[in-house]
Amino acid sequence: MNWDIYDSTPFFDEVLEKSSTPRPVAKHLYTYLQSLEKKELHERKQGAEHCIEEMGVSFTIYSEGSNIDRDWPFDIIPRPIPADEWRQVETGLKQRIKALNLFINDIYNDKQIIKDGIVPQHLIDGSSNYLAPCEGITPPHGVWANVSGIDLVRDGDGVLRVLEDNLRIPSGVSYMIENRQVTKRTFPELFDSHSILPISDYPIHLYEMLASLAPPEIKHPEIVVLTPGIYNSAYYEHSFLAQEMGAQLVEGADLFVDDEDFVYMRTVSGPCRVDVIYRRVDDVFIDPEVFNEESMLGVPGIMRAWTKGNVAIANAPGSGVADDKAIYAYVPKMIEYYLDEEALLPNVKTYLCYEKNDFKYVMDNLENLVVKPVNESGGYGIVIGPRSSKQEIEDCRALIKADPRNFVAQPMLDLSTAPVITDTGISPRHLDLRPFVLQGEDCWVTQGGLTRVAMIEGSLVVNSSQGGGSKDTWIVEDHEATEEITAEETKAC
Amino acid sequence: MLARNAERVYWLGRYVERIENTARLLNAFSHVMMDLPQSKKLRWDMLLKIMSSEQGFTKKHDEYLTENIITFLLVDADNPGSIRSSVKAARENARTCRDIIPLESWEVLNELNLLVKRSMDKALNRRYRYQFIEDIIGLCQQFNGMIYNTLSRNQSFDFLIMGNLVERADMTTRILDVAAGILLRRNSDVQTFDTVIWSEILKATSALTMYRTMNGPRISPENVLYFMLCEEEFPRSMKFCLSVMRGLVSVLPRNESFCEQLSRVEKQLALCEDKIIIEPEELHIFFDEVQKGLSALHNEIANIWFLKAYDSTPALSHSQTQTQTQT
Repeated sequence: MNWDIYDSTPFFDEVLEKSSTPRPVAKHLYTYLQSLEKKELHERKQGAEHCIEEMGVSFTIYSEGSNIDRDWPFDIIPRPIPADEWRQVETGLKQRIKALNLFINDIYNDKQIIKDGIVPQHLIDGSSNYLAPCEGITPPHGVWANVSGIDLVRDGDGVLRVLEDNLRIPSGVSYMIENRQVTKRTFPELFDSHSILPISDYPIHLYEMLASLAPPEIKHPEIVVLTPGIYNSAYYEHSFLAQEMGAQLVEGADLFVDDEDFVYMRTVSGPCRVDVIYRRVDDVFIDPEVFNEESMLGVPGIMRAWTKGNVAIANAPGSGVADDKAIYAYVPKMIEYYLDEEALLPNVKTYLCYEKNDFKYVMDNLENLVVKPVNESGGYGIVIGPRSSKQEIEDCRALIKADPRNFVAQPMLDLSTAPVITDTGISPRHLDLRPFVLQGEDCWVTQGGLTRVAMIEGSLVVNSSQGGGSKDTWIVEDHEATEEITAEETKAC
Repeated sequence: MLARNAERVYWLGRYVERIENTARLLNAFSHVMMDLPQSKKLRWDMLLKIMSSEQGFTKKHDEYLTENIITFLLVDADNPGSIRSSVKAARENARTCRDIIPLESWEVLNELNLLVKRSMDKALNRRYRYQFIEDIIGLCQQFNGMIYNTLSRNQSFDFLIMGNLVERADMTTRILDVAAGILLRRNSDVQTFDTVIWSEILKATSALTMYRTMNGPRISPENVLYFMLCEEEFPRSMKFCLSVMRGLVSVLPRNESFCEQLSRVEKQLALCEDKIIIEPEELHIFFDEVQKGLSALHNEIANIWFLKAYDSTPALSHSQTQTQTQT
């Protein structure tokens, strides 16, 4: 394949430093792809698609009606990241999650950070993710967000910034693992010439983290994955994780809470005590006694069991209070406040529409900004100024005026790009990266994460629910000694 | 049934099991190698050790090059333990007892043979190898499924499954012996990747999902060894193999000495059941004993029920040539 056909972009490219020079981390990848005929590359692409069908990797789009299962869109060219850069990101992520958890615990208990005037009270009052029934509770290890997906983007200067913290029920980790499986089958040769850190151990770490939430006297805790069922867009992932952990995959109807507020699952051999629930049901649906009384997905009484400490729930109900996009803007201050440290991972500049100056700036520059509703996820409700019609901008302006608390705005980002294979050849597309952080007794970060790609030319929206695809993400160890061995071995084969 | 036929279906069972196990082992090993960083890779000749075919290999090749080893194990007609040779042997045994196995199962073996013949060269190319091996595994399983669902529970079934079980128990102990020998002796700095390796070992014996439902995802050498050797419910564990053997043999005539030998192997296994051995030296001795026990079981079967039982002089018969190629 000839790299000449790759149009260089004004953005930071993950593979190419200049139009014909690969970044050091992508050197082998670059030459390898160069050595493949265009036809061969397309054959491999087809092979990968076939492999995905065969493995049954799928996801669901809500708007598709009866078609509830769709194959996972995947681009075969991996996205390499140098291991030393990753180690710094890892430290930054751990720092961030630590502060965020301290924040959530503080908000549901002493509210010291509000008393000290760092975060305004009205942000909490106005947050639909703040759940009053959780007040006064401290979950095991004081941790609320046990599984987090932190969305990172690389800006025009190559700096990785946090775009969003997903602290409720972030999904995508199964795709991260499956992407690697597909790449191993598609380009087995590449794994000889690279030291790529393995990622398949995520489920083990997830299990260990969940086990650390059970009361210490229980040696073999019963852990279950609670799914909303087959119509959920992430159902594939729920069953994948249950299978990988050897845990039961349960729906609300499989569980019940007894008079003493313990949780049981209904098994053939009778009721079986449950110690830890990895819930993939939204928190407001988990208990019709406390939250949404219409909910069929939850378990009546589960909040009673949780408040008494009879069962651990991950993520803790109410953890979403910190993944509000207005709270996001305060994370660097939180890190300073709780840890007395500088934030290692920078945020993206965020305008808070409820603040007078910011509001004015947003109103004046709406056509240049990206506007996001604070409590939404999955890319829903986002308005990208430069890509919107006059009418859309005016509609957006009206929405912000009606409820400024509900919106933040960010500048257009020069999201980095990486090459993807298209019908015509090879072309740059914007991407982001979602590493997953596990926090129980210990903190652990995935090696890399899920790289999501906007498959539509020029698009900045990477969400799979909006036509995004994904790539395998490589954390590549690179040292001189390795290089030599590699050269020898390649010759030998 | 004819002693001659009993011997053929027994070997048929062994070879089909061997093909599948070798195929799984190759795929699992290729997989784990991709996950290990350059400096921490395992050596491909580990596979030769497991298959006890180092000697045969060094006769043909000077160097342990990856591609040579794979070619040798996959398609080398001179290597009696290669997948190609095993397919040929399985088909040959089936050909001479077609009248007693279901027609469709014979056809599957033909298909297997054709697959190897046609795709052999292509399979040496890494890109196609995975698929090739998966196809082989699929056909073996298709064969076994047909045997389970369409062959009467007669003596043909008994001997075929006995072949399956002896081979399976043998291969499981070989894999564990070599793997434990290497992994438990490695320096602690490379052990961080051992979980990945142990889980591939479980995959090589199609045991991963069932292991997890029993133990959760935590992988420790102790648990893996216990699961593969002593777990009662898992159909590929050593213990399960032995207990099915006992059931099958109970309806066969003159089974006393076989049952005695079986009890001896069960006793050896019980050593591990009480407390799993993890010390490398001790473990190797244990595996050595178990393998000797299995090989004695095989000899019992041959001496009691096969044509050989009628021989007063131990001349070199067809059966013995086959016995020699078993390892």
